[in-house]
Amino acid sequence: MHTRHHSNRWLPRLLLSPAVISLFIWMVVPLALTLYFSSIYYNLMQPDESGFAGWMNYEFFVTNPSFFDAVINTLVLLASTVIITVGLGLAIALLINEAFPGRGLVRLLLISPFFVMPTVNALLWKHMMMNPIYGVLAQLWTFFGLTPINWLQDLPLFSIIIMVSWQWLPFACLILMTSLQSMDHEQLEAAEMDGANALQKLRYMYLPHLARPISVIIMIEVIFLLSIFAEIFTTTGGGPGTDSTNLAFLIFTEALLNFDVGVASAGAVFAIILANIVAIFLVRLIGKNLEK
Amino acid sequence: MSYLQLNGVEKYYGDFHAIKGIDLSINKGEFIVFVGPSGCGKSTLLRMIAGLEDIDAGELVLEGKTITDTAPSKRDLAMVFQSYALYPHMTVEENMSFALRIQKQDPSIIAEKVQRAAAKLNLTEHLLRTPKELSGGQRQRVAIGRAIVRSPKVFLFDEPLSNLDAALRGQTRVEIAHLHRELDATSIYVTHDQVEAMTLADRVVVLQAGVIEQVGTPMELYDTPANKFVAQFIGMPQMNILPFDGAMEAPADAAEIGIRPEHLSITDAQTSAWRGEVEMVESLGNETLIHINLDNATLSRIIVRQYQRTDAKPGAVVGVNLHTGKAHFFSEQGHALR
Repeated sequence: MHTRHHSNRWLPRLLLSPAVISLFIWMVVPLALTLYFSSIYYNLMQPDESGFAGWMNYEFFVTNPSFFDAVINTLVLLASTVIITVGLGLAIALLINEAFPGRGLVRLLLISPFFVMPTVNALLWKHMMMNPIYGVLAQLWTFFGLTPINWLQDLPLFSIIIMVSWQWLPFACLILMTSLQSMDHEQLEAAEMDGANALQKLRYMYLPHLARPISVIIMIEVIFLLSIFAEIFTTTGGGPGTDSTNLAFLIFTEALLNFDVGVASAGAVFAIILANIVAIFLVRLIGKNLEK
Repeated sequence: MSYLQLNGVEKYYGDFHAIKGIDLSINKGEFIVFVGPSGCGKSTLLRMIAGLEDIDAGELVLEGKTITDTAPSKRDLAMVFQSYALYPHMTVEENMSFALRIQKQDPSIIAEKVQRAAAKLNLTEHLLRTPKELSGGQRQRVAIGRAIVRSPKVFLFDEPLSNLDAALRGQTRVEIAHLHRELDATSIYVTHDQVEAMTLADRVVVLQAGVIEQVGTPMELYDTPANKFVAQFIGMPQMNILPFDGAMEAPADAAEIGIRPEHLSITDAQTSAWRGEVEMVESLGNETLIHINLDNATLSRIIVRQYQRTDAKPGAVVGVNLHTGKAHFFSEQGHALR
């Protein structure tokens, strides 16, 4: 009896352990290595310098004039993309919620940008849309007699926001579309009889109903958008200057352009801290919604 | 003068003619019940009155004012939905005050109206809860409260009891009847349950396939049904319908004879008008339903209801007598003949 009880308790844990242990190692080893590298002198261009660095790498990373810009750019990119995708996604989802001929096709087209790879997305925008000479936007501007904008040069961060928003809009739209399907029709009719106009229905019926899916969208987008890299790398290269450099790109610059593994690792630790700060805000803001 | 008037109201869904010209006048303070089998158009008609469905032809007049094309919120009607349609993220209080808050009424007046309605419906202690914390019956009362708070000219009920269990349904039915007496409000109530129709209504409107079959008080419908459909729809168990064999005095053109189960009685097989074999006996305590296969020309099956218990067994041959003057006669087309 004793042994049976014993095995009952331990067998499931034993069977789970390979997965748990490998996942744990997967997380802990890189984290430990990052922390370790951030505390030593480790520059591939200066192999003679080595040994414990204390807080030097951190100090170096933080005092880098690009650091502050990168933090701001990361947050601006994050906030604008989330606002644009949720706002536009909601508008589009509401627009195509009513049945109309060809709705299936429209939905398919709306979702398709999500399946485009980030690099391809960035190149499409860079060459097809935003090129100041032959880009579609330049043609449009010329058609109306305006001077074409050199998007990547003059509005680098804004251009990146457009690209990333285009990529993530379908995600927001898809989730909101499916949530709207479960909206109770009688509730809307009751609201209509109660005299609510379209805006009041949006405010009092749709938004409360969509609070949870919107929380999910924000949560997932934040996770992915904090580390946007491909779009920046393939278009602006973080420039001009540091105008479109975010934290992820700054770390890349330190590690693979300056070959300073130590400073890059210190940057990565900062990125982790920043992500946690954002996460705390999110949980405060959104956690309540998810608990309902 | 009638309060709410429907003149030739029609509704089409594509080629389907759902409502085929309804004329009806409803008096102030009346409790009207629309009843009919599913798909008869009763809910559609209610939704047309509410403004949730367009009226394709005809007109709707409330207090002398045509409201055929008026927006639902401007018609001064309140509706209690089948699913209650409470706003799930709002408290009971917010649910009940929503319409008034939208109209930007004075908060102190709103609070007073909500308090009064809540007291009437026994909801005072639940005002700060959300709908999902309430029982089915309480939700039902909140839905009614939401309508009361608006003090509308007409209350519309769309099968409000169908989501409740049997015991609660009976109880809520009594509450609604009580509330109606207290508020003296004009109400239109849709149901497929004839017990609700009979117990609540001042007048019942029997609908079938988008047409009014008969309008009348519950007892008028029971005692003098206008046609075979109403005769069989009202009353449980159904009225027995037999081909008319000319064996008794009847109006000319009588093709069928209808007799309610309680107007038949079991007698001695030798002296009775009809004879038959007992097929089944349903003993319900207060009443007994005896199913009998008659040995007449068409071998009709009939049900006899009696309030005494019986020891007739299935297979026994019994006689059946009908009470004089209680028979209904129907023409070939199913119209009642008198």
